[in-house]
Amino acid sequence: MISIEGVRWSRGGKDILNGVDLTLEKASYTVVLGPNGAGKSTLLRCLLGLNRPDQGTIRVADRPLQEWHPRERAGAISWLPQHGAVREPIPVIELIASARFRFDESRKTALFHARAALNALDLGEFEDRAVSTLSGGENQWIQLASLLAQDADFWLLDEPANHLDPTHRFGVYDILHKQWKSGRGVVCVTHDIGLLGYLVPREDEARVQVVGLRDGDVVFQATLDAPDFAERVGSLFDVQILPVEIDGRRHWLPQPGRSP
Amino acid sequence: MTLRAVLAMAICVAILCGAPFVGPPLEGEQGAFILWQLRVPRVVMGVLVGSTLGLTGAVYQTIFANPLATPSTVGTTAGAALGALFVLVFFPTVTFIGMPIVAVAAFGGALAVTGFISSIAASGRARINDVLLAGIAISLAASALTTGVQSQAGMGATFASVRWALGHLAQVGLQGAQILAPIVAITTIVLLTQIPALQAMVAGEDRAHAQGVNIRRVRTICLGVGALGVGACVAWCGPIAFVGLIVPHIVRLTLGAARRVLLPASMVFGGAFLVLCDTIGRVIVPSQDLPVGVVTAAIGAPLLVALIVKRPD
Repeated sequence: MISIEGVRWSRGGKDILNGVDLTLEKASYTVVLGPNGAGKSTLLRCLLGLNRPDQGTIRVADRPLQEWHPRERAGAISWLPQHGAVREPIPVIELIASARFRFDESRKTALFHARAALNALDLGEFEDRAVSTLSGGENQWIQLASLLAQDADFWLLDEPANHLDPTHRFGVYDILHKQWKSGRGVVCVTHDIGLLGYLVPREDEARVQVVGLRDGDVVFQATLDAPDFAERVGSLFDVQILPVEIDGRRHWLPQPGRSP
Repeated sequence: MTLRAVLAMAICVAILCGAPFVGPPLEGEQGAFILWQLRVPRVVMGVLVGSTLGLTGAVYQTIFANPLATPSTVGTTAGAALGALFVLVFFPTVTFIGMPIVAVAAFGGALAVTGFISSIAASGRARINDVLLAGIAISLAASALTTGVQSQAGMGATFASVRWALGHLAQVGLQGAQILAPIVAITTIVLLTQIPALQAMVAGEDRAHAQGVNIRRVRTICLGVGALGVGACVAWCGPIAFVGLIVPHIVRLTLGAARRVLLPASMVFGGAFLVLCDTIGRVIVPSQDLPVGVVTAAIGAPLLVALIVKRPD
């Protein structure tokens, strides 16, 4: 469990996070939704210890984050940054094996787990490709394989799919859903309302927590199946939201015009 | 890949074994003297210095996440040169715990400049290219000071320091190598232990942090130990340019960029490359000894320009 208590973070006199309180339960699925500049990426960076909060505390399993040894913390929390493309001509398998840094293990073991992670996502064919030759979508899949190899309790993902074509996009959602189903905690940060419709099938909607973040404040917390969900998201972005059901999944379509 | 690595190793070994025999034919007692007292120590020095420069070059490129970052471009070499030259000109005979003070001063200069540059890099606000620019600015400032120091020296010291500043492997003999070898060994061993962390840093410093790498620790170790090794090499042989830049690039193009290959291979290639350049410098002008720094720069400068022009991002 990760608990965020009164976290405040500012830069250059501007408050980016304004005292955020949030609890991320073990094996939960959380979407942090908000407009550009809401402080979503900053929140993730605080959770990773990359940004130290000016005020407030972050506890992971009841222990303050800064007391965690880097290797232990990497076993609790892993991260997929928004711009994670690697431009070096190294083989995919090496990149994924290096995500095993936290395990003090032999190279053979690291390669074994790296290969297993690739195969688990049906990416075995990429093993020997140079990372620098991958397309944006392929790269994102490979990054997910490296998260799998790191094998942390929580996956923090920063806009994991918004720049991908539909094939790779759906691939990403599918991987996240399966990981969550197998007991992984998933935290997905996005401004993309369209993503909400593809995360989980209808029967799982009650278990997905959506956190609306704007100007560094949590403005709402609701499950995906909340009756007033469309209104809340609408007011978050100042647009109208039209819920549409297609094939057992609910989608939220933003419409021009202010929310009522 | 394995075949290529074996082939590359064979070429390196051939260069090292062949180098002492290049040049005027060696005969009799005098020939044996030239071979064992002059040429072989020179090859040994070339291996020590070249491997250190090649390895630290590859490490700096990873730490600074920039293919152009090397001990020469971030200012380590210039700092070492300034420190070394200062004592060469003003205190040429002083020793420090048995070591010539020039080595200590070179290390001090290297550490000061490297520390300053990495504190800029660690401030988090500077983009990595700014760090390179700062390094280049400091290098220029250091070489201005170096010229100033030279201008204060007498004729003989000025000539010696100018020649030293070109970078050379000659006349340090086996004694020089004996003092340098342990420093190079420490540098090499410590840097090679950082391979897993450096490999993780290929995916980006923040990403490596999230994967459990203690970035500050890795950075401090690599830059500190790198300054030690480069400082020692500069103290003995002068600032030999471009080895730390070209060698990792050659390895990257031939054997790949995975750090467990890149680092050791840059070390081996670096040694062979410097010995090759020195051998060329020894024979290219008949009965003249061209400083090796001139040869590496003559090969390296155009290559650097080509790399900048070709840089993908």
